[in-house]
Amino acid sequence: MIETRGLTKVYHSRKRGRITAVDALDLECRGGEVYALLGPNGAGKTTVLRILSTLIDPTSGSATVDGHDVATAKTAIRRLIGVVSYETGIYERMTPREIGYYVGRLNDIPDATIAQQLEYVFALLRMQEFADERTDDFSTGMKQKTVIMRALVTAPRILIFDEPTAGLDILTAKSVMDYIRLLRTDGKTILFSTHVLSEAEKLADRIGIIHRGRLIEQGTLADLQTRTGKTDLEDIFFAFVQE
Amino acid sequence: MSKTWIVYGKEMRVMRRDRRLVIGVAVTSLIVLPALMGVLGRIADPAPGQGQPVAVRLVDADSLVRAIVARTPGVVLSPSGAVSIVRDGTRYTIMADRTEPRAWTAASRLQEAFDSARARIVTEELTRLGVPSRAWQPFGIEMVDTSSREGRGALLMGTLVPYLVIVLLVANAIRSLYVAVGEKEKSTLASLLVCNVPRRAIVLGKTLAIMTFAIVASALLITGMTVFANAGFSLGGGGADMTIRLSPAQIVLLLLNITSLALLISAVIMILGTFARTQREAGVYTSPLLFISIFLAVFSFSSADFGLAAHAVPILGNSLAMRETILGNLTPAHLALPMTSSLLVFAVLTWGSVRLYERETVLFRP
Repeated sequence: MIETRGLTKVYHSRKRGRITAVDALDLECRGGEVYALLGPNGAGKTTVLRILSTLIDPTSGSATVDGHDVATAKTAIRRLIGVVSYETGIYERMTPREIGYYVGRLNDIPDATIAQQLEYVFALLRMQEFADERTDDFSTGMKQKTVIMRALVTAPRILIFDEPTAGLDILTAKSVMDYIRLLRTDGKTILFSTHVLSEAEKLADRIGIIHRGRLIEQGTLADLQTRTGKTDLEDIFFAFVQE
Repeated sequence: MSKTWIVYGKEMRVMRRDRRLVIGVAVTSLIVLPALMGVLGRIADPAPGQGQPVAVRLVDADSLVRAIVARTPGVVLSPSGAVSIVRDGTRYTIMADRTEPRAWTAASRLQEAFDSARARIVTEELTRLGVPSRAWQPFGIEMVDTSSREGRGALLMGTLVPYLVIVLLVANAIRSLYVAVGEKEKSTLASLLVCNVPRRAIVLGKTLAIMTFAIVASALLITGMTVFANAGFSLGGGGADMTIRLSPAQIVLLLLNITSLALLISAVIMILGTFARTQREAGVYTSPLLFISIFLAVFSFSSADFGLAAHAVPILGNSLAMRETILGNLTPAHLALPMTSSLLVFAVLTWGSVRLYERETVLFRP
C-alpha cells in the first residue's frame, strides 16, 4: 500500500550546511495495517510523512502510495489520504461542519456526500454536540477531534498521523489513540509516527525504527523481539539505535 | 464551484465574522476619518471673525488709522500685540511674525482694510475737486469666483479622495494580512495543501478576499466623506460651500480604477504574507509599502500636469486618474495606462506567490 525505496531528502541550510533528513529509506506499510514509525526527535519521521503526504518532494529514491508515485501522481494520492499532524491547527471563526464542507468541496466531493460523511464522522468521534459551534473557544480535545474529523471527511483509505498525541494531556492523548484503534477496525490503513514507545507497542501491527534518517529495522513486535532477544520495546529500540 | 471561489468564500466568511475587524473598518471609514477631515477643515478654514481676535498694538497712530483698525474683523486694539502698526511721518508699517499664522493673517487683513480705505479717501478727494473718475480710474477690475458648488466639491474630492483611497486600500489590505500568512501561523497550511486544490486557486482566492475587503473599506470612506461634505462640513479646509456629486459613469470609472489598484496592492500583500512566517514578520515587510504608497498618493494634492508617462507608474497613475475622473477631465489613455500597469504587476506578483506556494523551503521554513 505504502512503499519507499531508497527514499532520500536533503536540505541545505545556511547555518548547518547540507542536512540529510531521510537517508535511503526503504519502508513498507501494507494495506489495512497500522504501521508505527518510531524514532527520537529529529530522526526524520515528519519528513518521511510529508513526502508521503505530497507536501514535499524527495531528493532521490521513490515513494508510492497505493501504486501512485508521490513525485508524479500527487492528485491521485491526495484523493486517497487523510493527514493529521501534531502541529496542525484549525480555522478560527468556523464550525467543524463548515470546516468539513470546506475540505470536502476542495476535494471535489458533492455536498450530499459530504453531509453523509460528516454525520458518520461526527457520530464516530462523538462531535454532534459541538459540530455547529465555532472553534474559537474549543478545548484541546475538541480541537483534536476537529483535526481528525477534517482528515476523515474525504473518507480516505489511508490515514497518516504525524505524532498525533504530541503536546496533548494524558486523557486527550488516550482518546486519540482510541480513535486510531477505532479507525483500524474501520478498515483504514494507518501510518503514524511517534516517539512514545508505548503507543507503538499498543497500536501497531508493525513497527519501523528510524534513526538519523535511516530505517534501522521494521517488523512486528514479535519479529523485533526475536531479532534482538529482548522482550521490552524500549530495550529493543535502544538495542537498534545504539548499534 | 471553482476552487478559487471556495477559498475566497471561506476567507470572506472568516473576515466577516471578525467583529473587531468589521466594526473597526466601518467606524474608521464612515465616521472617524470623515469627522477628522471635518475637524481639520474647521481648523484650516475658520469662518471670518471666528476664534480669538488678534491683538494689534498702535504706535503713534492717528485717529483715522485707529478707526480703520477698530473696524477690521478679527483684530482688537491692545497696548501689546502680535501685530504692531508703527507710524513714521505719513508712512505706516505693519509688523508681524510670518511664522505666527494667525498674526500673519490678521496683518494681511489689515493691509486690505488700509488699501480699501485709502482708495475710498482718494476717490472722495478727487471727486470733491471735480476730477472725472476716468482720469484716475480708467477701468475697474474685480475678481469673481465662477466655480460652481459642484466644481468646488469636485476639486476637494479630486484632491482628497485619491490620497485617502490609496492609503486606506493599503492600510486595510495590511489589516487583512492574516489571510495570507495565517495558514502558516495557525498551522493549517499542511492540511490545506494536502487537499486537491491547485496552488493557483489558493493564491487567487486569498488575493481576491484581501482585495474585496480593501475595496469595501474604501467605498465606505467615499460614502462617509460624501455624506459629511453634503451635510455642510468643511472637509480638509475645502470650505463648506460646496456640493459633492458623482455621476454613475464617474462612479464606474472610479471603481474600475480602484479595483485594478486594489488587485495590485492585494497581490503585494499576498506575496509578502506568503513569504513571511508570522504576521509580525509580514508586518515588517509591508511597512515600506505603506510609505511608498503615501509618497505616490500625495501627488494627487498637486495640480501640476504630470504627463502621460506618469500615468504608467502604478499607484501614482491610479491616483492621477482618480483625480481626473472626479474633476471630469479624464482621457481614455489616462485610465488605461495605470489600469494596465497595475494588472500587469498583479499578474507578475500572483505568479510569484504561486511559485512561493510551491517552494517547500518557504512553506515549511523553521
